[in-house]
Amino acid sequence: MKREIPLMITFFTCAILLLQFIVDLPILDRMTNSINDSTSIVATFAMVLGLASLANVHLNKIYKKRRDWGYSIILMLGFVITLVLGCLHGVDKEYSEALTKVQYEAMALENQTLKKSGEKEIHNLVVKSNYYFVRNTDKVVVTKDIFDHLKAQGTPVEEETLYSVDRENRLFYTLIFENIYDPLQATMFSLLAFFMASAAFRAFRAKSFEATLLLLSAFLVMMGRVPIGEMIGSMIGLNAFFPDTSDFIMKVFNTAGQRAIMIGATLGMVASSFRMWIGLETEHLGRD
Amino acid sequence: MLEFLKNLDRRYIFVLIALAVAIPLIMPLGLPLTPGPEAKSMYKVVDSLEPGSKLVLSFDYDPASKAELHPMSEAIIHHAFRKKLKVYAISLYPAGPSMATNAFANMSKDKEVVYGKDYINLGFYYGPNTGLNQVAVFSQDIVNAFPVDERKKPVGSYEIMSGFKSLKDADAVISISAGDPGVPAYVSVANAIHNIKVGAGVTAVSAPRFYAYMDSGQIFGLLGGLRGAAEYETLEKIKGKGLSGMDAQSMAHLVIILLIILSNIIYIIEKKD
Repeated sequence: MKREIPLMITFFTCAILLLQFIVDLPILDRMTNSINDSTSIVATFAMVLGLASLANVHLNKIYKKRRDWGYSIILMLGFVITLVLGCLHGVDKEYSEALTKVQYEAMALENQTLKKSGEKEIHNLVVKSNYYFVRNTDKVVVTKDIFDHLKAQGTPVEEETLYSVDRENRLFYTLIFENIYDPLQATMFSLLAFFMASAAFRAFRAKSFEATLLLLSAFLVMMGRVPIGEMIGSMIGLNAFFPDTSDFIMKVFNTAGQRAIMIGATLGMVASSFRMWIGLETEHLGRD
Repeated sequence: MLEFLKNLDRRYIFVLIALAVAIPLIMPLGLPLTPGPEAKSMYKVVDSLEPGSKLVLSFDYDPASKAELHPMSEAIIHHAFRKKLKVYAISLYPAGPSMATNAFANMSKDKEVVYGKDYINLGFYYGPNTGLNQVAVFSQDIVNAFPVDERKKPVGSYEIMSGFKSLKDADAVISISAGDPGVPAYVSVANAIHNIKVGAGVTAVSAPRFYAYMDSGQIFGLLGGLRGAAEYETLEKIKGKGLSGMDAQSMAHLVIILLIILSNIIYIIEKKD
């Protein structure tokens, strides 16, 4: 039964997901949503496991002072600081803080005083009307148009005034995301240009007929994709030669190759999914 | 000399590339650019939308691809605001909403656009199956996927959400994508199943893959890498980061081509010896 039950679960789950695409039945939609939600929950637990494992590996490395343990300290510091700041202030650029009417009036007064003395207002205050109706004790928020429509029909609807202040998330968003994470990611990606140039110099050689073809296509596409190619082309009397040839290579040879790869990969995916569905493929159960 | 070139230290190459990129950025050359048919097609579709039409922009990238993809997002937003379209930002990447916030902040300066009326940032929606599930949900019920926007306010309270219940209500969807999840999910679900018009903005390295979609009519336009952004900026007649980066990219390509030629000359001489 250790083998049969997981195989049956796989079979029924796959059948529901497949049927949902073909048959328009609300029950199948609901079952698919539940399966997808379960996948999200399992993935979240997997993330927690991954973070625990990461912390375990690096704390061990620091404790035993293994090679390059200094980098592990930086990693752990980044990990803890990001986690703490994220938990404290959220991850968005701005966050809204709800206010009571009294708090709102006090802040508005402060803004007015600053404005009178020629200074900039410090509180980004927001007053909003919320339109809603109550369904099974839940507030269902609607737009003004729907509110007016429901009111005209005699449906009981409510209106409330909400006071809030928008604040900028300077610690998490500006410092961590904009000033650290953003430039670091861009740097990592930019480094590729340097290594690509170095690798091209060492390895891109016309050693065979195929390599020569590759080299020629690369040359034509590289020249055709940048304005300097157009400029050089017109200087030697070949006006749109590079962009046109580059387009031809991309649309004919590249498209044909890409289609072959995509169709081949999709057929392979269909075949392996089908094998998994009917129980011929059991690798996901941890067997060969 | 030959021996020196043969064993050329890679640091010399690094310096050459750094100079080739930095000098045009400091002193722009202003090389002219002719937009390609894929960018023209994308521009034409967005341009043909009537004021008030709904344009969904999916920010499917993070800071790693920001240099290439952000200029195209900004150019499209500029175009949409000029045409008075309603812009809805969604994301299949966790860092995507931040990219959208930044692009909207840059493009809404000096423009009479209001958050919640002319544009909205709906945020990130997590789903398994590399985007397919997310796009399937967006195509059925977008309010269910995003009950609150990026500012954590109920989406139903915004004027822009009136009449926008799912991707099917959108007049066009453009995915600015760094990979998976992104364009393939929109093509496979939004276009193939629901016949929604899909456009694509992708990194230069992944662009070759999407020519097949363009050729089959599954996407209405394709912007590839920084050049795609520069092409859109040229069509929109604005000077953005795409155009300013093209000079640097031109010089970097030229340096790489010269290095490849040099390496092959060395190889031929070596072979003769």
